[in-house]
Amino acid sequence: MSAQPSTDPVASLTSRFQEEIDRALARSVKGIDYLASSGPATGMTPRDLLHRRGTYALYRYRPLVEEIYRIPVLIVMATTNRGYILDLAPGQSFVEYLLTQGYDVFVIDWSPPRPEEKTLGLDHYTQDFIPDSIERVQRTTGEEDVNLVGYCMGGVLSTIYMATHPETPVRNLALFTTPIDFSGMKLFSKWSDKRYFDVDRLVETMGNAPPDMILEAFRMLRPADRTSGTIQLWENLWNDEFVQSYRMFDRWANDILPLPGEFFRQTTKDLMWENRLFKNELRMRGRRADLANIRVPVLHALAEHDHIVPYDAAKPLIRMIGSDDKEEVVLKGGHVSVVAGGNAVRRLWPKLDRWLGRRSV
Amino acid sequence: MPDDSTPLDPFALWRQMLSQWEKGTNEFVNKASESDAFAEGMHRLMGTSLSAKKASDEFAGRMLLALNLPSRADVEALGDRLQAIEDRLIDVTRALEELTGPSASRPTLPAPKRTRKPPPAEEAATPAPAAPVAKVAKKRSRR
Repeated sequence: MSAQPSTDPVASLTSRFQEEIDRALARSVKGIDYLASSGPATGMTPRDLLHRRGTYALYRYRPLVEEIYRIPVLIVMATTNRGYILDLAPGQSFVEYLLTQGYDVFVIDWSPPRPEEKTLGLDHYTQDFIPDSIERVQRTTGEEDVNLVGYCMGGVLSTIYMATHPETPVRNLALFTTPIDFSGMKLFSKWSDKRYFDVDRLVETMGNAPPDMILEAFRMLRPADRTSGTIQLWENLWNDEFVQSYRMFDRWANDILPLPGEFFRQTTKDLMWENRLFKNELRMRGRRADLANIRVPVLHALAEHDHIVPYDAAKPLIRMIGSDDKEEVVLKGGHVSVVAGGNAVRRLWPKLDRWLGRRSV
Repeated sequence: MPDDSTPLDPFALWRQMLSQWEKGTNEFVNKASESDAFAEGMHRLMGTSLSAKKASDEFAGRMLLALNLPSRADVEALGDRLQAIEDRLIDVTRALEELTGPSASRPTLPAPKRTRKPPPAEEAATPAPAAPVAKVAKKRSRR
């Protein structure tokens, strides 16, 4: 289907048109396949459920190599999204990569909260679910030390946990695209302006924050993306790899979870309106979240073109934590492509492996 | 592949235009949605929709009660109870396995040794498996 570049402009144009005609034919055949099939399977790496309590589930992935690092890795997934973004497909799975590099991988993944879980707040996540998972990882592995990795809101929860638990068994903390200064999230701040947004009424009426509302907020950040994405899909229907990748990411991006009402209310009031985490004023069950309490080695990976967590929102973390061994790295990519897909395969994953491997013995 | 930068490639020009439209539209809408008027309008609309939802939920609840039918909330509550029972079963199974050893249905794998050391510095940057990743992964996953 490819053509050699030609120096003759007319021949080049003819060849280009011929290529497009071939693609159009392939498109019409594969378009039918696209509509008739359900898309590629995701989350295929074998794992075992260690514990589930409502929205909270802890999984252990089965090791793939005979010799692993001493310290296990516990990943905290973002609360708005399904965890399979970290395990998309063989060869494109962050979890599979970690397993093949010799890590013992545990993941906290979230299910849609039940109606009665509307009362779950930030404190349940940071003072109950994460410490409970750490204890279970310790019991399962027989190791005292644990590495903690948090993605997006999972990074915020991990940070709050660390900032309220100076005595933690966590030995290394890796955070991906984690906001700290919520005033840096300009559009979300504007949209949740306390003069107009009655979050109490929303929670009291709906119970849990509906996923449609969260999805629309994400979409409004890049309103043209859906249209241009659909056009790109049509253009590339002839390309199986493109279509497979598109379907995995598109399915995941639309698979948004509701948030427990109280969690949503606290996130809005304490983080978005009052910016308490940044001000070191956030309190969880009597403990103050002081970022200076974080003294373990920290890696914070940010995305250069992150429109959800802009650099201004994430950059204070490294300055404010108490660790001596700390590193911020800004990688090419966006909020998702920094952790999954071809960009992540080349950049973040090897970077994390280099950073974490020597600290995990 | 042909050189997409050739000035005679109308398809490359089309892609460029699409990209510029996308960028321009996103910037325009973002700018417009930064205003107080936008936030106020959006939340007024949400308030109206919440009121409507509350009224419709109450009406539907009364209707279902009159017809002696379970509401969605009742069905969800039943689902929750089933889930809670399933969760307890998982806990009980795990506790039993801890007491009696793993079940025969899942073969026991030898526990891996926790003695791994990182490779020497120059080899440490192990590239991830070379998987076919189409350009959509870069484009579509900007979120």
